[in-house]
Amino acid sequence: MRLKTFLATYLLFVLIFFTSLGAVSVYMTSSQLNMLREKSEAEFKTIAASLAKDIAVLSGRNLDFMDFEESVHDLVDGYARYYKKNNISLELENVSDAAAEPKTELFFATRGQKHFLLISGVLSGSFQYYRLDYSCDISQNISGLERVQNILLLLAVIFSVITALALYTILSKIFKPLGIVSRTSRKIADGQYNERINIKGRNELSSMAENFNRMATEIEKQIHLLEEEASQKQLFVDNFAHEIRTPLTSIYGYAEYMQKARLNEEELIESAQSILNEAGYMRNISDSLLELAMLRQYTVREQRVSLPNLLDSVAQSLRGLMPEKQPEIICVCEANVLLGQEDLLRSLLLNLGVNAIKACPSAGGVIRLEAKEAVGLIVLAVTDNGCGIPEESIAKVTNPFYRVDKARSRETGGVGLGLALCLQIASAHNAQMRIDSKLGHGTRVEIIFTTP
Amino acid sequence: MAQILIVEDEKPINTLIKKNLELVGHRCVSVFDGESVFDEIEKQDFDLILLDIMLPKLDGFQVIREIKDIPVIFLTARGAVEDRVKGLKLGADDYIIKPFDMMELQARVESVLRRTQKADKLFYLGGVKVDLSGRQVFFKDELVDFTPQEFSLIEVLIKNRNIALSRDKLLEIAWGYDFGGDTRTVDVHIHNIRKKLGWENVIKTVYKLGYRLEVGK
Repeated sequence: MRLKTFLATYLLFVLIFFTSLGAVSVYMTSSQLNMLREKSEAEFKTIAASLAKDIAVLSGRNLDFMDFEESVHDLVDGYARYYKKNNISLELENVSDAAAEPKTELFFATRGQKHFLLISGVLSGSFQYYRLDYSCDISQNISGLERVQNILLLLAVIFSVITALALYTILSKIFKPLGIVSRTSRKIADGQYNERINIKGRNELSSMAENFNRMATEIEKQIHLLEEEASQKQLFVDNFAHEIRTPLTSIYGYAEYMQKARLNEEELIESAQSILNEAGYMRNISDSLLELAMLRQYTVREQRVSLPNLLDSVAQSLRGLMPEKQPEIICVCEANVLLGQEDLLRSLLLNLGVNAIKACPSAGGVIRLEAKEAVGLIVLAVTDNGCGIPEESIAKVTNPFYRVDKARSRETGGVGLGLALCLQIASAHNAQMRIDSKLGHGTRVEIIFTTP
Repeated sequence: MAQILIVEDEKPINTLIKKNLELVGHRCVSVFDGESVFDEIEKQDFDLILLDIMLPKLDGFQVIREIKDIPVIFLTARGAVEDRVKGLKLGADDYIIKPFDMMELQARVESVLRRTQKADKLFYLGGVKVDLSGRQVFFKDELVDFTPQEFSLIEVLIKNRNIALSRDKLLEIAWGYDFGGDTRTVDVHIHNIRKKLGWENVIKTVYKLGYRLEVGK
C-alpha cells in the first residue's frame, strides 16, 4: 500500500516535472534562436544597405568592369575583415547571369562540429545582381544552450532524488499509524488483549484509533468475563470432585471391608451405618445442587407473604433443631407484607437461622430474626452472637463448597452449599444479601429487597 | 506388627483405616487434627504415621516438617502432581490417594515398614512358624517342603491376613501379571498348603470370592 502510493505519486511527479522542464528548455532554445535570428537579420540588413551605398559610390566613378569588380571585391573584403571578429563571414557574389530572386533567405546549417546561421539575399536598389551571403558562427550560443540544458537536467535529477526521499519520509510518517494499527490488531488477534494504539492528534486516524481502542477494551472485558466464568466453573468442578471424594472413599472402603473381613454383627451394622451416612451426605449435596440449578433460571411466584407469620414459623422450626444448644430466638417484626415466594423465603431464613445456631456457643446464644422497613425497602435480617466469620472469609462464604471450618461443618451435616443457596434465593427475589461479621462477636446477615 | 498413628479428620475414614490395619495385626491410634499428632508421639513410639493433608489447625505439610525419624505416608484427596511431589519432597515415604482400596493401603504400609525394617520377619500361628525373610516354613519346628510358588502364596495370605482375597487377586500378586494360568491353579496350591500345614480351617474359602487366612485379632 505504502509502496504503491509512493510509486504512483512519484511517477506522477517525475512526469510533470520533466515535461515542464522540457517545455521550458524548448521555449528557452527557441527564444534564444529567435533573438539570434533577429539580430543577424538586422545586421544583414545594415551590411547589405551600406554595401549597396558603397557600391553605388564606386559605380559613380566610371571604372571599367574589371576594376569595378576588383574594387567591389576589396570593399567586401574590408567588411569581411571587420565582421570576422564577430564570427561573421561575408561573401558577395555576382549572380547577374542566374535568375536571382529578389528575396532574402535564412536558414541554419551544421558543418561538422560547428553551427551556422546563414542569410543570403540580393542587395537593394540597382545592385540586385549582387547576392550577399551572410554566415554567422553560432556554435558558441548553441553549446551555451546545451550547457544550460545539461545543468537543468542534472538539477532535475538531483531534485527528483531529493523529492523521492522526502516523499518516502512523508509517506512513512503518514502510514506509520496504519502500521501501528495493523501490528496492534495482530497482537490482539494473537490473544494479547491488553494492547492499545497510541495515536495522538485530531484527525481521522486518531478517531479511528480511539474507536479501535474502545473495541479492544470491550473485547478484553468480554474475554475477561468469559475467563472468570470459566475459572469459576472450574473451581466449582474441582471443589465438587473433592467434595464427593470423601464420602466415596468411606462408602467404597466400608463396602470392601464388609466383603473381605470377617465381621461380627455389631461391626456389620456399624459399617452399614457408615455407608448409609455417607450416601445420605451425598444425597444432600445432590439435592442442594439441584435446588441451586433450578433457582438459577427461576422466576418466583409472587404472593403476599405475611412477615409476622413467616418469622414465627421459622423461629418455631429453629427451636426444634439442635435442642442441646437451646439458643434464645427473638423475633422483631416491624413490617407486615412482602411480595415473594413463601417457601423459598422460609428456606432462606431457615438456612441463615441454622447457620446462626451452629455459630452459637452451647449456652447463652441469642438469635434475632428481624423484618423491618427502611427507606421504603423491606429488610430481613438474622443476627447471632456466635463465633463470627474471619474477615478474609466473608467474601467467600457464598461460594459453593466453601467452609470456614471444614471439620466442624461436616460434623454438623453441612455440605457447604447453604449460603450459596441463600444468595441464589435472594437474587431470584431481586434482593441483595449483605454479611457483616466480627470474629468472636457474631454475624448479621441482611437481605435487602429492592422491589417492595 | 507395627504401631501406627492415623491422622485423618474424617471420622468414618479414620475408623475404616484403623479397622483395616488392625485386621493384619497392626496397633493403631487415631487422631483427628494436626496438633494432636505431637501429643501422641510424645506419649509413645510409632513405626509409621498415616497423615491426611487437609487437616484442621495444622495441615499435613506443616505437621511433617516437625516430624523426625518416623516414616510418613500421606493420605490425600488431592491427586495433583505438585501436591504429591511437595509431599515427597518434604520427606514423606509414600502417598495414598483417596479413594483407595484395602489392598493398596496394606501394600503401601507393608512396603514402607519393610523398607524401614519394621516389618515382621516371623509369623507364628499354632504350630506353624513362617520365616518371611528366609522363605522357610516350619511345622512343629520341622522344616516343611514348600515350592517357591507355594511360599509366595502363603506370604501374600499372611501379609493380608483376615482379608478375603479373590483368586484373581492372588494370581496377580503371587504369580504376577503375566502368568497366564487358570484360577484353578490357585485352588490347587491352596489345597497343597492346607494339607501340608493342617490349615483346613485356617485358610477359609469365602463364598463367591476366594480365600482368607483367619487369625485371631
